[in-house]
Amino acid sequence: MTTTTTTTTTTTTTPDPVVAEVTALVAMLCASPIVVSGLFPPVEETVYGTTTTYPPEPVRSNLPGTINPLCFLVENVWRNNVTVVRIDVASANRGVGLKYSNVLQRILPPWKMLIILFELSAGPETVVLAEQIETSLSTFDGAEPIEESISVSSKAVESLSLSYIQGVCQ
Amino acid sequence: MALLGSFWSAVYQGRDVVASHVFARGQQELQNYLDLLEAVASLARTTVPVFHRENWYLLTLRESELNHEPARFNGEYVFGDTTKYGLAPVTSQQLFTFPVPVSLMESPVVFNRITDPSLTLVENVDFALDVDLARITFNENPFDNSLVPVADIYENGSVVDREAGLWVYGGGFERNHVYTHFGFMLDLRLASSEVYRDMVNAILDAFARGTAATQVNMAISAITGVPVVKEAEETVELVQADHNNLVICTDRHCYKFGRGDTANVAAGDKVAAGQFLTNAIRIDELNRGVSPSGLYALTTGPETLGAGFSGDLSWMNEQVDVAVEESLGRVKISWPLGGFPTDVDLFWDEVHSRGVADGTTLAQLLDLRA
Repeated sequence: MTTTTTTTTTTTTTPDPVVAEVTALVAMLCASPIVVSGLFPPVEETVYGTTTTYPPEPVRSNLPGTINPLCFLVENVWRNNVTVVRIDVASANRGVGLKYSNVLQRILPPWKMLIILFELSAGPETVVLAEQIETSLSTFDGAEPIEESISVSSKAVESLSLSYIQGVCQ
Repeated sequence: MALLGSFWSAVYQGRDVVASHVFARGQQELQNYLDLLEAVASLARTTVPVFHRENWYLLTLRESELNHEPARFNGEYVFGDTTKYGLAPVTSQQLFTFPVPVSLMESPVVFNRITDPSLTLVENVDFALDVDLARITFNENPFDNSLVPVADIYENGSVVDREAGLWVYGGGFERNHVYTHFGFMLDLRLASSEVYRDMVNAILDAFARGTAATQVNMAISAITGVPVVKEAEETVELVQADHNNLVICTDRHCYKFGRGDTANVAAGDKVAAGQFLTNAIRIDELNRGVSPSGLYALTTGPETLGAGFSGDLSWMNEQVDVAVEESLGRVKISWPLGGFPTDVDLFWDEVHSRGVADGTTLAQLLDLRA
């Protein structure tokens, strides 16, 4: 099997040339970096010739101090293919109905995610508190677990009855 | 009459009969012409008629059916009033309700006769048509109006009922044109309406042109009823709120929104097809590392998390501290998530253990040195 690559590949440690050819072929077909993990750790090969080896175990100073969980989720899990649609339900009552929102699944590309947020508007509420409010709090201890000892001899009853039937089948 | 010649128009004594016959024949041909136009319009999904149009339709009303529409559980009546289920409601307001064919969807104007009408009733002024309950309600009793033609109904030689006849002009009838011509392809059967046709067109547009944001917006517009810009480019000329609606007019169309909506555009703005003009629909594409304001968190449900999770996990849209610890001999990284604490712990344990098994932990992937 011969494989011709047009890109310059910097190959590091490749234990098996056959596996390397297959990896390069798959990389060409996918046109995306192929991470060779498990078989040849910690070497990473790409068709573009870049080689990445993860540094040794990081310490706290090597890691970000803060993170935005939503952005992390969108960028790394959903791969920036998310669209959020916020619908004011009070203003969306002239169409075929929100229950048909699942129709959108038919037209969305498979890699696209559409998140629909139905916003329910609520009227403002005003609470006027009295000037002096005292609330007394008290604790309630849970009931003690019930301990009960049961002896088999006092509760178990065993009986045996014998029957003898005799007759003529008609 | 002049087209028939001088004999029928000037010499023949019964010219009125001839005139009526010719007029009736002309009306029939007019209906045939309208049917032909309807058939031609049905060839294209963008122009398929929502309703079948009858130029003239004789609406007959039985006096015995006056206000005999039984009460139903539809929220119209309140528990505890004098209304009883299955019986005609007794209302303080003096209205006159009759059943109509279930296929009658639109009835803009009603006349007492076709030629030279002396009585004109306008929808939502003199009467109201309830298509859901298939009934028409008049402000005045048609049987008390001398201008309405009324005929006795005989049974066994005696009068048992009376029947009034009114002519509906330009009535719309349900023939399921949208579904039978195009909606069936999508296996999506709804009652005929403009928004149903818009939704079918949005889906078929997406199939034909590849799904772009415009087609998605069109579909959302059909689902919600919030209008989007129709033409490729329009210029906003007016943003005005009236008593019931917010109206935004461009150089091509006028769009009507809810009274409480807030316009996103102003006069002079250029808008493009598929664009929403108010805050009723807000679309944020999370593809440029920018988190939209007002979006506090997104939640992943158990269906995306896998087995073992009892609830959702919420990913807050705010900067949170990253926790670093050691687990399974490797550095474990995590940060606060919303949800049950057991689910959060399970999630991070799962992430870390899979990373350890795979040889690359999340901490390594987030290493700033890499």
